[in-house]
Formats: sequence, structure tokens, C-alpha cells
Amino acid sequence: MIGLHAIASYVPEGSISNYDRREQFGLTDEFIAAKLGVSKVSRMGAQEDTAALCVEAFRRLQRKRPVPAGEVDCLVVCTQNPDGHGIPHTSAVVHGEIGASERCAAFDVSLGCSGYVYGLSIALAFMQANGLRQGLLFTADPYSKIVDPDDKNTALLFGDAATVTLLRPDGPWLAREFLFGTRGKEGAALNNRAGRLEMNGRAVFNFSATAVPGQVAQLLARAGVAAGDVDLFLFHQGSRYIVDTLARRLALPAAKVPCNLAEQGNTVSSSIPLLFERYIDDPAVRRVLMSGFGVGLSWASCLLER
Amino acid sequence: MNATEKTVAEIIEDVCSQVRVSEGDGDTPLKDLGVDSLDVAGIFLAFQEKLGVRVPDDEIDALNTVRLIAAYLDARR
Repeated sequence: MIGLHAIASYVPEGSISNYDRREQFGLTDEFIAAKLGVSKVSRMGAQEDTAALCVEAFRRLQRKRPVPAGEVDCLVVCTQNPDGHGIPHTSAVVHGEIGASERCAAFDVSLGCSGYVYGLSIALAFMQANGLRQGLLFTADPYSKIVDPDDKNTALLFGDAATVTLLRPDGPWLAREFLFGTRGKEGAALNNRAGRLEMNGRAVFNFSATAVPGQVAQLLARAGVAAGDVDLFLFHQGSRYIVDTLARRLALPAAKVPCNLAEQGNTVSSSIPLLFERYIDDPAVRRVLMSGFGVGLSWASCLLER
Repeated sequence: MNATEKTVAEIIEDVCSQVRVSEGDGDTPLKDLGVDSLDVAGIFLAFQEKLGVRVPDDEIDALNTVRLIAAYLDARR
């Protein structure tokens, strides 16, 4: 079985403080801290692009778990904001930059906030079906490319980041169950219109607050696991308010629902691995439930154990 | 407050743990009660789930007091 072995991440040093925009958007400190949960949104540098974020995440992985690039045989990038106009695919750009071998499979997955859970399922299944032994699943969706800095709905939330998850046979974390959902008829609630992100916050909130708890409950029932036997629930970090809402609607104790938005914001498909990176080597954490939700509208949940 | 206004007040307090709605707050703007823009989404979702009334996006801004919300809900139930 292929499992998750390590996660590394890159959050660019550049940022915009939400506290500096209190006047522009009529914000209170209480709203920023308790509702958005985002002190600042990270911003990649002018010379950086999606692939560059991935390459930096890979460099950081090398410091944690050295991985000879020539031994990588599967490289997946989850993004909806690829380098240039998407040709060549960002995974091919990353492949070239890190010096992976020509026998390495490389492809992109186009998904937003549900992308990490989907990406895990795709990469694990692809690797197992084809006898591949060492895979890299990247997430990098720098929304700074499409966020309107004057749009209160999005400018205060979305930050840039990239993560990479190393998948290989000795990875201790194994995926046990996955569930997926799509509500394409409501996809306009979060869309890119002529290069500018638009979000109907109420529609996205209603979707998240209703669809995710149902899927989480279904996943637990299917796995025969009680919520109390899950160490952590790692929800997509959309905003502090949605994470708190999910915890409340699922009657989960706050200690089991971590939130790490403050220093970078909502990093789309990177938010769950960025959070899981904190716990992946923690021996006290043995079972986690992840749930990503957003663009599509799409949602996906999985149970990981070691 | 009439029965619907009391129900609205209870739902607001349930969704917004930091908000208290007292008997004389029927005409107080929700913002002055401490309800912010994110709370509004949660409150109107609760109306939809508990009372079966979905308020269209373009009508929400005008419903900014307990009394206005209650009257709106009564007219549609």
C-alpha cells in the first residue's frame, strides 16, 4: 500500500495585513480575529509563479526527507491558477525545474478547495494501479493572480502557498475511505470571470454548512468509526467562521478542529495539507478526517489512519 | 415581542453566541446588537432550516431588525 510519508510547505514571506485594511473595509479587530481568523494574507513575489511555489515546497521537503528527484515516478499538481495560460501544464514545469526523470508521470488536477482530498485519491490509485513507488502531490493555487484587492468578499481571505506530500510504500498514513460530491448547478457561486474571482459568500457558506456535515457523518458511518474516535478533523480553512460552524453543526469539541488561518489566510487546496503538516509526525495523532469544499461546487472527505 | 419575533430572537442568539436580544430590541438594527455580515449568513440559513423560509439574497439587507424579519417570515409561512 502507498501511504503519506511527509508534507512540506512554502508560504511566501510577502503579505498584506488585514489590520491595515480596517478602514477600507469597515472592519473591527474582533471581526478579523474571531470571524475571518485571518490576520494577514500571504502573497507570492513578483518573480514567482505557481510552479515556483511548488519547487520551493519541494526544496523544503528535501530538508525534511531527502528525495532524489530522479527517483520520483509520479508528480501531480493540483491548481486552477497554473503558470502562464496552462500550457504546458504546471506539473511539467515543476518536473523540469526539479530535474525529475523522463520516466516520471506528471499531470495537473483542476480543482479548488476540495483538491487535496481528490488529489490524494487520484495519486494513490494511479500509483497503485501502475506500480509506481514514489509520488509527489503538490497543491498550489495562488489566488493573488485573480483576487480583486478591493473586493471585501475575497481580498481579506485568500493567501498564496504551496505544499507537497510525499507518497510512497513506507508512508505510515493510509487512506481508508473517500467520499466525493459535486453540485455543478451552483458553481457560479465561486467563479473566475474574465480573470477576476467572484464569490457569493452566502451561497458558499450555505453549501459548506449543509453539505460537509452530511458527508462527514456518512463517511464515519461507512467506516464504522465514531466521531469520538477521530483524533482530528481537518477542515478546509475557508474562514474561521466556517470552521467554527462545521464544528458546531457536527458537535465536535474545538480541540479536535484545529484552525491555522491567521498567518496566511485561505490557501485553497493547500489549506488541508498545510494544517496536516503540523500533525503528520505527531505520535499522538493516529486517525484524521479531512474534508475539502468550495469551487465547483465540490466537496470531498477522507479518513486517514496509521 | 410576538411569538415569531421571539423565535427570531432565539435563533439569532443560538447562531451568534455573543449576541443577546432583549424584549425591547425588536427595532434595534442587527448590527447594533453585534450581528456581523458573516453572522447574517448563518442566521438566514437557520431560518431556512428551522422555519422553511428561504430569503433571496437581494432581500436580506432590508431585513435588518427582529421585527422586520418576523413580519417577513409571517407573510411567507
